[in-house]
Amino acid sequence: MREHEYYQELMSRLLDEGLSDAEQEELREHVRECDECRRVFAAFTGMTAALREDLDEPPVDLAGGVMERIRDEGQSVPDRQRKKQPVRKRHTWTRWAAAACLVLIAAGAATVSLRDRTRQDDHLPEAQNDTVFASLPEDADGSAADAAQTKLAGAPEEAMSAADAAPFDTPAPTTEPSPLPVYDAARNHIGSIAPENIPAFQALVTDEGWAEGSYEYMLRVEFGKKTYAFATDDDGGLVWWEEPDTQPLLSPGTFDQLRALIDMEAPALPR
Amino acid sequence: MTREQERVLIARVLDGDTDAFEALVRANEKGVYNLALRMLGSEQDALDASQEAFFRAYRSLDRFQGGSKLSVWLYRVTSNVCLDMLRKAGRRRESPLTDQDGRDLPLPDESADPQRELEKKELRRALRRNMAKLEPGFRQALVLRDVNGLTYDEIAQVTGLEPGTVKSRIFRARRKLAALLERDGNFFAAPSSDTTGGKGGGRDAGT
Repeated sequence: MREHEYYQELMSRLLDEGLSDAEQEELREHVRECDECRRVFAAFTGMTAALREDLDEPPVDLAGGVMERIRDEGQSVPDRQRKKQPVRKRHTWTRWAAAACLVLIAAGAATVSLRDRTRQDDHLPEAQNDTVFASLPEDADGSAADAAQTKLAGAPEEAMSAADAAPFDTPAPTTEPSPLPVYDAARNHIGSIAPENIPAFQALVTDEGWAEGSYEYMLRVEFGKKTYAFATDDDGGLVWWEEPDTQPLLSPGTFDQLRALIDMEAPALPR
Repeated sequence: MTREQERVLIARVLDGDTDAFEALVRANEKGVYNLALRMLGSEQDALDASQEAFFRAYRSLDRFQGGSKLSVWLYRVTSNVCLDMLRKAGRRRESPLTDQDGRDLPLPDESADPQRELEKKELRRALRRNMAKLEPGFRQALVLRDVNGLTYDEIAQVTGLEPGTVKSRIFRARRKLAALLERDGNFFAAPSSDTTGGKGGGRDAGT
């Protein structure tokens, strides 16, 4: 007989996308004979039904509140589009180097000089990069990703304030706000990275700088065969997307992967 | 609302008609609010998160490319807002946001045989109470599946995870939740094998 876990995983899949006839029959046979799995089956179906039925009505003022805020402080989307258009194009990036500022601030360790970096240094050899990406742990069982998330949640506030004082060698244009918000926001998502792993992260950041004609300060990070761009949102929040797609990636999964990569695979990355 | 109606409204918003956004909010507020409520466990937090999510979505609407349903994209924004709130809460205090629904409820009496509706209510309260004990990433996957009705692939789009990982997270979340509920109130006494097997055999069969 197979393990209970195998059958319970079948039960979960049955509730979501269904099973083949053979799988259903196999599950039915087992549940008929196994008290534990019968109990789990009752629990899975009972709580799934309850979750699916149990929807609350949203408060009546939800939509009104959103619209009020948009009228009070929202810049119209077309205005925003005009402002952001240039930043999507790779060639509009105006500055290079200073590539690990993000990490320096994240770690509160602003001692590594980045001024001499070149683009060539920034790129990982493709094959090595793939190997690293492919060796990311599966996150299903107590994953590095979740561990990283937990670590982030526990990050002490002191580290953040120390980081705020970190110097920049990429001064903001005189009429623009400082680039600090993008680092602040990125740090909040990426969390602290151990100082010894900073070079690993440096290898992932390929370029950064002010977007032409925009208040946005941007970073680009490559890992695996993917490239992610990060930029400040209008209110100092962070938006990021996978290039060449411009749709924002608002999931923390990307960062979890990135953190896991940095924390676990640093020795494999070039320094 | 059809995809086509959605597309027209989005085009109007992008064209400067801010009011057109309200129809998009109203069409999606139930899903967004329930996602936030199950993620955060408190009605006030859920309202705040929903409004923040719609506001962010409005400001990023030009980045929505129509490759997925608008609702799926909105759930991505909402999930992100909720996870941010949970992280911030985690930094402020030891435990993340917890449920405020029925925290002090007495455990159900196992020997009682309450009416069906009452049982259902108890179960829902217990579910909300115990959902808060799941890891946020696992809770997110389960809520997107069972509350918002997304497929594995759609949840993968929302979370940035592989569909196989999504499937695994949902399974693990269910298993954990089932164990928590069992400890909390023994909600799911195993039915006899007659009801599931369709063939007599008794509880001792095969053991």
